[in-house]
Amino acid sequence: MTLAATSASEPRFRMTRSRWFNLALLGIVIVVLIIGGVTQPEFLTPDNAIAIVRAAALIGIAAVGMTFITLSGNFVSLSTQQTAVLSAILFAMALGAGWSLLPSVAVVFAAALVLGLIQGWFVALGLNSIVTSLGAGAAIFGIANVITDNRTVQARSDVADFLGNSRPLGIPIQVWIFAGLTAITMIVLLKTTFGRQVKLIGSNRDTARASGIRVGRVVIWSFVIASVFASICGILLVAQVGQAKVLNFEDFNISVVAAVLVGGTAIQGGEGSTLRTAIGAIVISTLDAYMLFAQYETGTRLVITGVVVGLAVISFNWVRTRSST
Amino acid sequence: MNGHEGETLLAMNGISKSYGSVRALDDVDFNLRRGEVMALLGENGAGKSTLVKLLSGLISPDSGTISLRGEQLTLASPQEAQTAGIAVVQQELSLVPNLTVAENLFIGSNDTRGLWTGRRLAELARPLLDQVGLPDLNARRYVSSLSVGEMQLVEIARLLGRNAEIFILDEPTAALSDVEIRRVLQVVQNLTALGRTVIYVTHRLGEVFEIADRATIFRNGKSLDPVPVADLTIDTLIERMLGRHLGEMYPAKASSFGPLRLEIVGLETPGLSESVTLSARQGEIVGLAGQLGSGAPSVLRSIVGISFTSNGVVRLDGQDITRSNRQKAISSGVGYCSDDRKRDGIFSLQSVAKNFSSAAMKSVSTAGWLSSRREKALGRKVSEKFAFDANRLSSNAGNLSGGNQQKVAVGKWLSIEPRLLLVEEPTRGVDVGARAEIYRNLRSLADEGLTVVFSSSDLAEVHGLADTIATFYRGRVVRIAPARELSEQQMMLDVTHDRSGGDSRSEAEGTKS
Repeated sequence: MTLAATSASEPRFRMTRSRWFNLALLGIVIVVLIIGGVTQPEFLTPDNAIAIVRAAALIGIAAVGMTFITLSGNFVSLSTQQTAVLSAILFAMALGAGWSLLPSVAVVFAAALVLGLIQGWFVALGLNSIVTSLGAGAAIFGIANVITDNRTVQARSDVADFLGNSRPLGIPIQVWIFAGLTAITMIVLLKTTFGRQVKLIGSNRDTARASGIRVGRVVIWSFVIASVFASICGILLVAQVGQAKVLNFEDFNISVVAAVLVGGTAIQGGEGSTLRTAIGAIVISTLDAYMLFAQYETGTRLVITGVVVGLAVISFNWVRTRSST
Repeated sequence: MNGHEGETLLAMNGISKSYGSVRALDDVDFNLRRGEVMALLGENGAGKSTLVKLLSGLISPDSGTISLRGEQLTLASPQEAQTAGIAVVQQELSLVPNLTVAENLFIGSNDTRGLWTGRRLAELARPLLDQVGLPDLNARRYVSSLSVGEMQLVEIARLLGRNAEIFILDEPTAALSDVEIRRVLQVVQNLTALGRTVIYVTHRLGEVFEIADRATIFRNGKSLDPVPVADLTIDTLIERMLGRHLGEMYPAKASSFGPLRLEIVGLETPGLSESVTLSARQGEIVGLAGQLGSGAPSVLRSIVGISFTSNGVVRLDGQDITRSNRQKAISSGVGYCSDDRKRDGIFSLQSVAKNFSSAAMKSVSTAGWLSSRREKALGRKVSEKFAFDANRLSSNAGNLSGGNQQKVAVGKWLSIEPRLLLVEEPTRGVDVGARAEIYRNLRSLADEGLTVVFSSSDLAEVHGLADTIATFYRGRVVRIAPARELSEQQMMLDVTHDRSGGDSRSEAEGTKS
């Protein structure tokens, strides 16, 4: 029995380490909110708060999906933004053509699945994920340009409007979806063999292969998940604003990558969680919202975001290396 | 060259170095005379490579002094070693493959006169290349197009160009063909003619008698007094290298075996120069003994599909498993553990429990859902079978000692309930205590019916642990015999192939094919 007691106490110790990190991140959010509330009284009005959480939810959903790629040891995808844009356009076109909600969503998901499969397959064959997704991103953006001819696609639909603007229990639906997807992916990572395999191949791909794990297959599915989650962002945006254009989701790639990194998922893979990424997304978008609201210049905003990401990565690494000695 | 009595160039006195609880060097003395070739001999883990690392400035001794030309010095960094005129030709060469030979020779050169045109560099390279027996090599060729032997020589030329005085060659011939070995040996002798001094680390005893003046033998981290090679015979040399071994290190061998389990017939795979036929019974431990480049590990690798099986048949309990891939090998009950646990044996940043279940995900899950209860049970079962401390199941594998890491790397295969366990270098980088434990564990598993085939360059280990031994030399089997009928001396002869063995080799080649 003493044996069980000691082994039970060890995971508790490890939890404090990641909890410490999560608390620090939430601390940043609270500090930003307080500074915002004090210096800009308008910042914390209900309307503005809802706008902040909506933006956080979109970044968060894409970042939670991308976490699978990062955990699997394939760094990040740089085609998230473009996938979201193309998905938004496809969704708007489908709705505009009079399709009902479900077939429209299905078409968008199918397209995202194919895009993820192709990129994942290339990476599984040994191509660098950054290069692959950068190229894919350019191609996807090109397709989006071609099919819209650079025009805004209008799409009004009552069902879509519910998906975009309803607020069950007073909380925007995007936040519910974000929370739900975070919870589901946490369960997948902790409780399924697929989730375990993602982390194992991220920890050490050679050992994973030697242990009989089908590394390529796991990599491909990680990209599919990231791609489909990015497409959800596209769908939600169209549902909210009723139109889509190629210039949507500006700087989305950077925000999503920043959210994953600030959340403390190790860029080398193997360690991290979608819950942390979700918190990272909240940090990044709160910060961004405040800086926008306080009318910081674009350059200043980018510098501050960069510094926050850098500090988060460094402090996370510090926590990790210190605990492993 | 024998009887060359130069002044003492380098002296190391009372050197000790520990890694954690492992004493790699224990009060070691070493000296080197100007212009000699000093052979550094000893089994794996005896302390040779630690000494080389000390001299190259990669590590610092815990105690002891080093003096060069009578003056004490510290070698705190590779730069300091280089300044002192000590140059190491590593097994992994430090040439840049996509630069030319000449460019490589002058990387880091301080000469700033004039333009470094390709032609001028090639002219400057010429005398250096001539000195290392490469008069015909075009200095403008890319290093990536050279053979390993040529690269070795270019590396030596590069160090010559830096006016290095002491050359340390760490198993320079391990990966070379016969012709290339001749060239390298010739160059080593030229080095002394050029007034340089050579420390020559090798496992091939024949080479010692060919080129070395004196030999320093390492045994379990201690050095013996240097002996003139002229005073040695191959038998006395082997005796000194082996010394007396710990009797209780190895468990008792099997008294009986079950039916035939593994049959390898006419196996051909990269790394082997001749086909290999080998078998192992239930409950048997088969040891494949061989130095680097002997091909012994290639046999194991081809069974699990890491290297391609170009010919031959592999059967497990009568079932054909030739050209299995990793998944198929695992599902037929074959575990394989490479010689580099950090590379592909363990997940350093994951818990031991997750390491244990990594190869047996199916057995701890239902329809893709992990069962933490079953995973814990598996962890406890494997811990018990492989004498691993179950309290440490939640520790990260990377935080364990080398010995415990090795237990994780080997032990995790018990999770698939293997019929056959293949292990390369089962105790590389493992301290003596954990070694004995790993031997005991493997033996008790074999007693329960597991078949173990392992490859090792540690002859004492093969002799002590295996029931049946196959000795390998340069890609072929020299001999297969029960361990009790084979002496360590004979094994040493087989795997190093000294002169007398060299004669019998040509006969063997004549009769075998």
